[in-house]
Amino acid sequence: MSTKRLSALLPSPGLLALALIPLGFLTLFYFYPLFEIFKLSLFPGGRFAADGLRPLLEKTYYLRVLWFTIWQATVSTLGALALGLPAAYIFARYRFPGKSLFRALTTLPFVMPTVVVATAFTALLGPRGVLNEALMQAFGLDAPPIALQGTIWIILLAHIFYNTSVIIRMVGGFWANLDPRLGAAAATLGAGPWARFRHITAPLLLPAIIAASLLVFLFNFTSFGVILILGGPGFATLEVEIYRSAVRLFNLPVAAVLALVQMAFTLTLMAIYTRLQARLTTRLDFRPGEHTQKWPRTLGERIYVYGVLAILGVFLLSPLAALVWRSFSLGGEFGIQHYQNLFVNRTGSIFFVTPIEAVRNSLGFAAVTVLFSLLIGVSSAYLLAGNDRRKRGCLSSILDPIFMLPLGTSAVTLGFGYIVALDEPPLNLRTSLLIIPIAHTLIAFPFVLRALLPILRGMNPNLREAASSLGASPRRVLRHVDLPILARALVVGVIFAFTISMGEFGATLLISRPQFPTLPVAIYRFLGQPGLSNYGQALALSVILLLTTAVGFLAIENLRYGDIGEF
Amino acid sequence: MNQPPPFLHAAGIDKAFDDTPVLRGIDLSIAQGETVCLLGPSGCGKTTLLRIIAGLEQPDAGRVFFEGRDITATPAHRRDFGLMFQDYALFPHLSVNDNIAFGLRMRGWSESDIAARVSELLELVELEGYGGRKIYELSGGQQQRVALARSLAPKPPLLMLDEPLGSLDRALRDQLLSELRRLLLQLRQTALYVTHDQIEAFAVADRVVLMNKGRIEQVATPAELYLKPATPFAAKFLGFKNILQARVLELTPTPVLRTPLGLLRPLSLPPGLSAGDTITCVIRPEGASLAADAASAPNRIQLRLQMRSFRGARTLLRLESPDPASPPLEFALPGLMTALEPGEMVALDIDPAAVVVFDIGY
Repeated sequence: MSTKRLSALLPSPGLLALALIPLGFLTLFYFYPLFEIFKLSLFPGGRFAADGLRPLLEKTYYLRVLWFTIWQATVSTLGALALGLPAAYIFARYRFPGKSLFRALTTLPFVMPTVVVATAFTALLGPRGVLNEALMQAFGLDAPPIALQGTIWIILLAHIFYNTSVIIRMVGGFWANLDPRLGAAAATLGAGPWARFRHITAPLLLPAIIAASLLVFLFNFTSFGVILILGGPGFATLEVEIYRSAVRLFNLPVAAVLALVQMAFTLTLMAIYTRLQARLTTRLDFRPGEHTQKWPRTLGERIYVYGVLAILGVFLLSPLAALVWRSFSLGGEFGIQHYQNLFVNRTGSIFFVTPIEAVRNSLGFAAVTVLFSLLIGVSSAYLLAGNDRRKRGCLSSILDPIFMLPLGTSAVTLGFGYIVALDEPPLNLRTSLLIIPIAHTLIAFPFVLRALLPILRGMNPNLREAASSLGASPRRVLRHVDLPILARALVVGVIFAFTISMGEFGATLLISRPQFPTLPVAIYRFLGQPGLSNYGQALALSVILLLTTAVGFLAIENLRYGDIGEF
Repeated sequence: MNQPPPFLHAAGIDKAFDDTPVLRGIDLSIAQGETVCLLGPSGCGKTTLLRIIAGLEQPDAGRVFFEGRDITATPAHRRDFGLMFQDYALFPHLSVNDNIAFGLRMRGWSESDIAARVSELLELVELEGYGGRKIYELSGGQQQRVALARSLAPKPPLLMLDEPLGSLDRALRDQLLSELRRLLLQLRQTALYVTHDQIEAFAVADRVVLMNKGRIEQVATPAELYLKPATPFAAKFLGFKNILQARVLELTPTPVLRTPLGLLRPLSLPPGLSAGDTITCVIRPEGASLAADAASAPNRIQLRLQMRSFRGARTLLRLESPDPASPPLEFALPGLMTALEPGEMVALDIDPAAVVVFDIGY
């Protein structure tokens, strides 16, 4: 190979500088903490020792935790499929009034922070929940008749509530684009409705269903907030067990080994999911969705469509509605007293500060997260999109999955990694407030990257060349060409980063300091305290978080270009 | 009296989508062994009519009969008709073999019979050796053949083809068109062919059904349709430019029309016209020849040449209409005509048989 060609393959100095920002960040705040976990679990005290692994093998307790983690994730996934698939069919093949509103509504649960969902389920089904109160009043009962809190049922319900929207969006989107003429062709060849489903629709849909199920399984597998809050002490997934071992029992080696097991599972699942995603884009005859949809006409169709929509609507809306309603009605009197309490620093409170400080903390952390995420997200997007199309393929096929890794790593593992890695010089961030936005950035920047990348890659390079041939300096090209084109995607990225930071729970719970609680951490602490007033404040804070997230989500839905960047 | 019922008969078909009528009182019958072509511009309702006959769409009114049986309520998968789709709708997850075998499996054929029939069809469409391929490994023309083989495999009594060549380029289309015609004749296959392309319709059809805005405009053999388009729409759709308003001057002994070009004598008039009627007529483009002498003759017109354009075997002359508000006239004459220059006056003799007069009211 001549030197000229060799130099063409090497990155330019500008590209190298661009690569340094995201790769440096990932090395320091992702790979290094994970490496420390690895070291702690297998090399405690500097030399290899399998001691750390021993309790895992000797105590059936940890096997039971692993079994429960898999079991609850499987059942939750099946439940989400049972509700999501009929609804996906409706969204794919039918028109009905208010469809786009309904579509946004079904996605709302998915973007809700876990603490909000957990609190919402307590507001609906808990001992002080809306349903129990209504039943007690109606039948004059002394005790709440529905005792779901602390059982597996409420965990499964919350997981299904969360993930049905993933099934609807992923499978429904794929289904809508499946050419309905394939079914018509099968019909003219003698295939009845069942044969058409079995031989045409099902095999074509299967990769989408499997991919969506894997993703949902992954979410359920690493479920943390829901189990911790709704399940109580009786239930532990791997994720919860890592947290308990690290924070409550302070058994770091066990926590490290558990984190390692957890990572092995999630990264394997992520790898399978990524490969399936690639297969989903195989050559199918796609048709734009709107040509394949019809109004429900026959009585049977109408009963099916509106029946499923009604069930879906009630199931997805009632917890959130109950949360808002309870936050005003808890304690008999309808009013804003629980919100007013947020501004009061009562003696004997679990906080050193007024609860509303948590809102301020969260806003501050979110603002810093937005800045960091933009910096990392934009530089990684430019790195992947690349100016040179020839080099792009190889560079981007290596870097792209690396940038997505944080999404496949559980938040609690990340938080735990920060505890063990970032606690001594030269990187002593344990007491720094920056550690929270850094953790949030790691989770949020892949979303910024995903929002920007399709636009950057789709941008016609001639535009930049035209601008420079018209006399624009590189800086002015950036200012007058790139920026206006990217503006919408940038705003989407900002909102993503903001809402993710506002709602992040798992990592924050491990690394936040008591005097600087974030909104979700404050809600969790209130829920853990007895008394009506504490619960009321948890509800009020949850409503604030719910509104923030909902507004952010609706803004993203309206700003996104078509279906680009879905999941 | 005891005439056998038509092979296929669609009677009084009405269909509307969201209150927009798409088909209005359609009556169509197809005889066994015949290839009928539904021809018309997009949006004329031809595909909807085909889908109603296939059972993929229900008519709002009217009935479909097959060999005298009312099959209006029979679902598509029980009609046993074959349908070849525009863009083929081949099953992307199945191999070529499995695509062709699909209809046979649905009918419960034994695997050995299926294998025999599939290889027979692969041979018929000249795709031997392609059975194991994936659909996306095939070229457009090959996919078209697989689609044809798939729809022919269960030996459907009626084969329907919806713009089957629509997505191919011109050269490939011409080649496949003659192959298709040969196959349909060889198999004595009854077929209903939908297209917006008159060249395809003329090449493949025994009878052409010209449709316009949900109604049947004219039913004729391809030659009849070309020689005697029944309406100005038919003439325009076939690409005729020379459409004129005229007045009937005389009916006997030979009919005479007063047109913007002067007096013209058509070979015949539709029945029921009387002197003084205003009518529309069309002069077919190949119905003119250069005047051989300077003497005046019947059906001679003099027009100024706008443009001469070489079209291979013929040369197209575009001539100014004497009525400045009318579009120019076009005639296709054999030879090169290099002696004619734009701006010159050209004298042409019009063949009386090339003047087609429409019924009054058009």
